Amino acid sequence: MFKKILLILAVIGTILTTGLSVKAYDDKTHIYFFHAEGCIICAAETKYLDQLEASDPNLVIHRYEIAFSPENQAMLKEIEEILNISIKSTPSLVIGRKVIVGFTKNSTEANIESSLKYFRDNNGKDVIGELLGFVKPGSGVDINIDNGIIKLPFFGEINTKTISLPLLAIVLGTLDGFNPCAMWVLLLLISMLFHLEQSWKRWFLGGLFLLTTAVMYLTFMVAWLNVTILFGTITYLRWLIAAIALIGGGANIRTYLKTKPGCEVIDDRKRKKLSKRVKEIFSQPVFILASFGVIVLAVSVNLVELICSAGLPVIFTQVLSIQNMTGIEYFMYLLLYLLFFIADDIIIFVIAMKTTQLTGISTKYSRWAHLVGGIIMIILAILMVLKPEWLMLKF
Amino acid sequence: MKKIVIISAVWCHACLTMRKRNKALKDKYSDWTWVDYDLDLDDEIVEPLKIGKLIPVYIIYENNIEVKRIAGEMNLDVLERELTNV
Repeated sequence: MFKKILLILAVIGTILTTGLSVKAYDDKTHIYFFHAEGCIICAAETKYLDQLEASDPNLVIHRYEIAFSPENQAMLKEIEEILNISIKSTPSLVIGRKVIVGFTKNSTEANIESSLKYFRDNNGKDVIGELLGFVKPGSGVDINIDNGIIKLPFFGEINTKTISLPLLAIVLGTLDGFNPCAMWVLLLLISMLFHLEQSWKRWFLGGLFLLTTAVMYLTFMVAWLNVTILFGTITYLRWLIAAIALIGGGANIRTYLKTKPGCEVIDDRKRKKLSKRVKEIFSQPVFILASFGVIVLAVSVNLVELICSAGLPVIFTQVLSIQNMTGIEYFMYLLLYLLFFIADDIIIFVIAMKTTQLTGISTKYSRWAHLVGGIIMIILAILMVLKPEWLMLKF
Repeated sequence: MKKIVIISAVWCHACLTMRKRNKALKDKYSDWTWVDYDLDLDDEIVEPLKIGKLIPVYIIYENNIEVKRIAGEMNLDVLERELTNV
């Protein structure tokens, strides 16, 4: 009997001394934060995550600097392969399989908290935790937090229940397109194009005008998007954009109420000056100079058009900036907006070239566009201040 | 003798929209005299008429005396009513 007890004690002793221990896992939720040294937005998110972790004893946030740390970069590569994702920008936060890129006060915070809740409520699988040994392998259910969200090539994640963001791009782009500020210049240009004998020159110069318009508008929107992404955490900037939206919305509704259907006669001096410029372009004996003249004309006209748009592109880029997307996804949404913005110009141009007759768009459409645009802008302005998280458009 | 003077501009989308409606009425009331002026090309004629801030403008003359003036985009029925009810 004594020998048996000694044998059992010896086995236990051997197990303990040879280190055959069972790894202990905690029941805490682990999430993973990837940031970069010197990144202002990362610093803002770090501050928020510190507070979140301090207030939630069951939460562990693992922080990895990926700009200068080769070890973390190698680990990130492994994580990207396992999750089948690509983390290209910082800050990025991973909860289960969900990656939250960027940080905007209120909206991203709301997104993080709701994603965390969903992950916990559904006993989500911590894929990175398994890889790094923080959680017990095989625990949790492999879920996609963004239930009802599909991923489309180029456009990224689309909420199938609301398809809000593409719809917003189409609606705002179309409304912006009906703004007749630059339309009269296009019509003037097309009327002059009819005097050109060679068809290819008509197509080329008109197309060049539209292309320059599109490139210029896109450049402005990309630049503005970068500003809002970079300074997105500054509440005052959001308020400034909300103020622009409010003023622009009011101006649009005023236009609807005050203007009668028809064309406002543009200031005599301005009109004659522009007509003279267009005539000069077409009197150029050298075609390349005429082409250059068209580009200069489009740039100068569209500088005015940007102000005339009463902030619609600014508002759209603001909404876009708070979405969690990659660079190419942002760009594709801007292109979608631009496509619908320029669609009416393209239609008018193509019909004119095919029929050698100018076609007008009834002013009743542009008046309605002012009313609808104005209402949408005011709603977005209010949301920007009071409920910015709703602009994530994931209801 | 009725004369209708229409003042429009090539860059005005509302004027372009009205072209078809003008044509329909020109065909229907072919006994009237219809004259078209372009705001920019015919500025020497148009300027003294002081047309205001909204185009297209329709000036109705009876026996060479101006009796009515209307402006803006409108549908065919309204335009016809405005031109006939002088």
